[in-house]
Amino acid sequence: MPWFHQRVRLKTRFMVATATVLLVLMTTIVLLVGNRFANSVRQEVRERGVAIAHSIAAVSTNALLTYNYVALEQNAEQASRGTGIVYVIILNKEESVAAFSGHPGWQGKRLDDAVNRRALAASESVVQSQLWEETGERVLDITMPVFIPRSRAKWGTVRVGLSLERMYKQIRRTQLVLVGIGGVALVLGLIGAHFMAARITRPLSRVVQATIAAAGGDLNQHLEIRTRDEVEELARNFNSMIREILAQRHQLEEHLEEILQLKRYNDMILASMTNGLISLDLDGRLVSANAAVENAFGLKAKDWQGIHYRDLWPGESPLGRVLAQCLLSQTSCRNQEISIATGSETERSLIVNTSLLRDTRGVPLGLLVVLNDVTELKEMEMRIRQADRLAALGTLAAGLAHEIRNPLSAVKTFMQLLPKKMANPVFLEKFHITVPRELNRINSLIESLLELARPPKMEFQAVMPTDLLNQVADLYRNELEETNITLEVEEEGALPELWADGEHLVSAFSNLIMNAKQAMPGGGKLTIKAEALASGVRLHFIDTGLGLGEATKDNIFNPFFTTKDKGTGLGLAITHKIVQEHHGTIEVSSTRDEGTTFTLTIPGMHS
Amino acid sequence: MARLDREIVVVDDEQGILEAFDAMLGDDYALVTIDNGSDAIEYVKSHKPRLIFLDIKMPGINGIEVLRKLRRDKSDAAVVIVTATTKSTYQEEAEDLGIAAFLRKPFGVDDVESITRRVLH
Ligand SMILES: Nc1ncnc2c1ncn2[C@@H]1O[C@H](COP(=O)(O)OP(=O)(O)OP(=O)(O)O)[C@@H](O)[C@H]1O
Ligand SMILES: [Mg+2]
Repeated sequence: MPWFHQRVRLKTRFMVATATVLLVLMTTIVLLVGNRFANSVRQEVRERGVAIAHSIAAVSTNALLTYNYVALEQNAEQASRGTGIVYVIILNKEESVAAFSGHPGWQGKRLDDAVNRRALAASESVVQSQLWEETGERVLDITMPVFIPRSRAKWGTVRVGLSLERMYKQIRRTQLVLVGIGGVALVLGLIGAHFMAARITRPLSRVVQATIAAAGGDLNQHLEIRTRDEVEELARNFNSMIREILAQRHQLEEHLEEILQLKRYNDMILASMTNGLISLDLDGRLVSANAAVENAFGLKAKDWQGIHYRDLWPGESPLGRVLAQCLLSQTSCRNQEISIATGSETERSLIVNTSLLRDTRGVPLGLLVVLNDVTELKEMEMRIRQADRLAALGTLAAGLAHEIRNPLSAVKTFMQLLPKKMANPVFLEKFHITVPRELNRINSLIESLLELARPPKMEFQAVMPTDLLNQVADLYRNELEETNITLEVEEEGALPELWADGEHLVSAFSNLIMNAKQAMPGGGKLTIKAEALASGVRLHFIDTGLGLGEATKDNIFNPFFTTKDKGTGLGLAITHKIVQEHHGTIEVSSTRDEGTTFTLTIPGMHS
Repeated sequence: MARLDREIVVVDDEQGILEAFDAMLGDDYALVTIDNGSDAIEYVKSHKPRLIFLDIKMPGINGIEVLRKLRRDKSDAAVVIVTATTKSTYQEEAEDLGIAAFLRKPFGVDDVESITRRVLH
């Protein structure tokens, strides 16, 4: 990572900036003040030098004019004793040394250095700076020409060497002091900046800390910052943001919990469902299967997850065939009955129902398959049917026995008596009347029983129902009226032609009419109502008789079921049989003591 | 003969049964055949027979009801139930009311003759 991308703490930045500003400021101040001071010191030195040179020139004018070298020497020596004066040189009119402080031997010497040359050429005070080789210090050389009083004639030159070392020392000291003050100011400034920065960045860094923690997942953050500035604002916003996030997370968790609970609930339902449930995607792969399916087919989760149904139930297996058909047509299949051979025992009967799963826009997503194991149900149904058959058979047998025993008793008696009474003509006569008659009764009983059992010989032809109704009405009207029963025949709509055996239908109707008559011993009304249907006719035989109880109702169509002392119980059984032969239906509804209605439908010729 | 006249009554709605009784007993006993319950009650009340053969299943009043009525009328006639039904409750009911025998159809000539003899002699 390049350095400029490295994270630099805000505080550090602030400090660096502050330090830089302070440094620039201090340096400027030190330089400006130092310069100013040096200039003024330099000016002062120069003025002092000029003043000294001036006064030496003043006192030395006469001595120069008079070439009084002794006085000049004295003047020079005396003047050079002043502080900071390195040398005093007095040059005569002839430009040679008249006096040189500290060097009495140099009188009359001609000085030939550049400084001296410029000094001799001066017609007014000249200030030069030079390195004084004798002492190795920097010296300010001030030249003052000496003129004859009240004239412009130059009569000598005075040179004063002022040591600059002191001045420099003073300047340097001052500069040092300034730098020191600057340093202190810098340090104080930095310390101040540090506290300032801390004041600003501490709450900020608390915000930062909190955001880092929050980003790390610990949302339990609350910032208590009272700086009355943007940071406080920031903290407030942060707090409300966290609150918002927490609230949302809480809500999310609640939703999640709800969803989980729902899922658990659904899973439980699926697991405890006795019905098998399979879902397939549109490609035919199993997406889910519940415990009932696993049990039924002896599967484990890994056996079916993501497996194509064909690998479990190939196309020629019953379930495979149904699934293929439903997936192909993308429709729902209803109540398809299949039997499967499960792992261990015998075959099981399943009812398969499928429905297409669609998303909210109605696009098919897959297939939901519900398997309903009806093996037990079917077995039970079969047992019940068997029991029913047995019960019916019992009634039949009992009825048959009763019906046969009477004629049989008569026949048996006559047969037993026959050997003894062979010679008795009266007996023989009775024998010939009774025995054949009773045998015939037995025979006809068996005949009608067989009638029930074997397909009757029906002679179908086009029949108008109206004709049949008229026929039975004519047959029974008188008989019914004798017992105070009024017969009414109603026809609704144009009754269609029937493809029927008219004779058999008439006998079926006769049975119903006889039953109605017997149910109305005190008289009443029998209504025969015929309605035209789109597919045939519907006939109602409505009586106002005794009605029947529930238990009776369940049995009336069974052969030999009768509640009458003189009934055979075959009437309705035969009627039922005849109606069935016509592909019709017969039903009964009844209210005790109010009446009974038998309703028959007989399909028309063309249906 | 007056006494014999009211010896035996047979009540049954089946003509064949009545004819059979007539063939068995008609030559030796005074036999009256009746084909329904209510006539039987009337007849028994006035003629006080010694022995009655009584069918159960008959139109109108059935044999058990006839027997109950007779007993209520203090008839001391010996009653033999002759029935084709297999319903067992009838037998208990009849025995509670007091009967000489319970005969099931088809009966044998011997049964009828021996019962008759037992009751009448
Ligand atoms: N219209 C009706 N009202 C009341 N009960 C009826 C009616 N029709 C039939 N039943 C009842 O149904 C039973 C069976 O009728 P079904 O015609 O098979 O025999 P049955 O009438 O008893 O004997 P059979 O027909 O030989 O005279 C009757 O015994 C009676 O109890
Ligand atoms: Mg009938």
